[in-house]
Amino acid sequence: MSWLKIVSPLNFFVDFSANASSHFAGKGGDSFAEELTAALRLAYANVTDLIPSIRKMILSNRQRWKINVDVTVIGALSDLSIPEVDVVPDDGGRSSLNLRRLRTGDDIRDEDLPVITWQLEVLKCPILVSVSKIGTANVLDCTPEEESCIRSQLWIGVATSDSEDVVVTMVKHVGGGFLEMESISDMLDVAVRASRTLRTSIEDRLQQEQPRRPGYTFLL
Amino acid sequence: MPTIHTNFVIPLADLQSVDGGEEKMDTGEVTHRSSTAFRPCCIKCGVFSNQDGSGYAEFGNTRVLAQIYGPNSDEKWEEDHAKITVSIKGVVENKQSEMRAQLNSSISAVIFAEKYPGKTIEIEVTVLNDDGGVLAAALIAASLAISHSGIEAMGTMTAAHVGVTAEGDFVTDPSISDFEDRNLVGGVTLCLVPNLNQVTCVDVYGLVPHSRLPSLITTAREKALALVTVIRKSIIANVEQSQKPAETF
Repeated sequence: MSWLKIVSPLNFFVDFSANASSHFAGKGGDSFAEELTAALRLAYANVTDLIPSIRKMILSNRQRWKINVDVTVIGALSDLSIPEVDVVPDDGGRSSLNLRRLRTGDDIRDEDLPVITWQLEVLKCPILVSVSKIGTANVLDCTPEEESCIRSQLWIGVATSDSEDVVVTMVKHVGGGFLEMESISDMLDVAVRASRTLRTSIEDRLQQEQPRRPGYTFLL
Repeated sequence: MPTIHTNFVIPLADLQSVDGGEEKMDTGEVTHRSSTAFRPCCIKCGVFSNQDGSGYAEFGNTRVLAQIYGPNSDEKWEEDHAKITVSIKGVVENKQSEMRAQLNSSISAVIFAEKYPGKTIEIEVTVLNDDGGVLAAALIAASLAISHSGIEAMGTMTAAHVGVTAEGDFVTDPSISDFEDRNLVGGVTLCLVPNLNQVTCVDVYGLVPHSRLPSLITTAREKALALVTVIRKSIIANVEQSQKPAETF
């Protein structure tokens, strides 16, 4: 929302192929992609509070790195190394970026020194869960057949915090339909439980992936 | 850009809005309002006489106008239900996409789309000024426009925007300045149909602790229900106005 200072350095792009789903009728699901992008942007609006190290992306008031996120790939960010830089004012109101390097004191050319990098704490990112109401049941991860029976759906973004209580970063009611007040509370509880399990699974998987050789990911 | 000439049914002064572009409303009483009170609000059903339907909602310096075009016939649309489209003007593109999905979802839920096969209903929401709570104001304005147009719907919608502070306290209908003054960390916009007691839109943003969320949503519901009387009065006023014989000059 506009009154929240959105300083998130994350850019989201959601793009569907035209034949990704029969619902798109060969049109690529533009409005659905737009809706999903807006939801992700809102869920990650306060990412600098959730992941303090991401503030390093903001170099100055006018300059910052951008991470462009493909929504389907969370693993790719886990081993992403981001170089630290210094902003140096240049002539004509411009600025230049210098890579920060480990100074060893020896007489070695700058280009040969290793660049200081840092990594994103991927597990602190909000997890988005969609909970659908089918009859009186709250269903996660619907099949296409189940999707045709959905009465109402909530998209819920859940993130961890320093305290035991989790933080909800976004709730969106999508696809029309009505909900009762009691259903909303139930659906929120389901989403929080699911996000805890998902987070543990992702953590385990990332730990498994860690020892692999660089360049070989589970995607290949 | 094409311009549309419209005739006002009532003078703008009657809307109790403040003219003068960037000039803000005198918020002396607003700054001292309690955290459970709404900002001064003005709600109007039927702003334009020669429009299919129109509604206006104002909370403090947030002003939203909604207009309806339709139900119109469209040769390209042959489905057994009406095609409902929402367009939003006056806000940045990112916010447009956020609001459009929410408005479309809520409005589609209340309108009996099956009663208008092969028709299109276009809802145009114009944000005249955004000072916080624009989604709630847009939902109320759109609902009033639906009532004014006579399109069959399940009921009138009411909505409220409630913020939550870092300490876990709730602030009703916060403005943008309240966000910094009262150290708000998030909030919710809740829209419901009172006569069905069903929620059509729930939009949470910011960082809201899970333990506070159910009570935040319940507070938003209570606040939204508090507006029902005002919304009904504006609809009744519009009906009485339309029954009066037309004034001749």
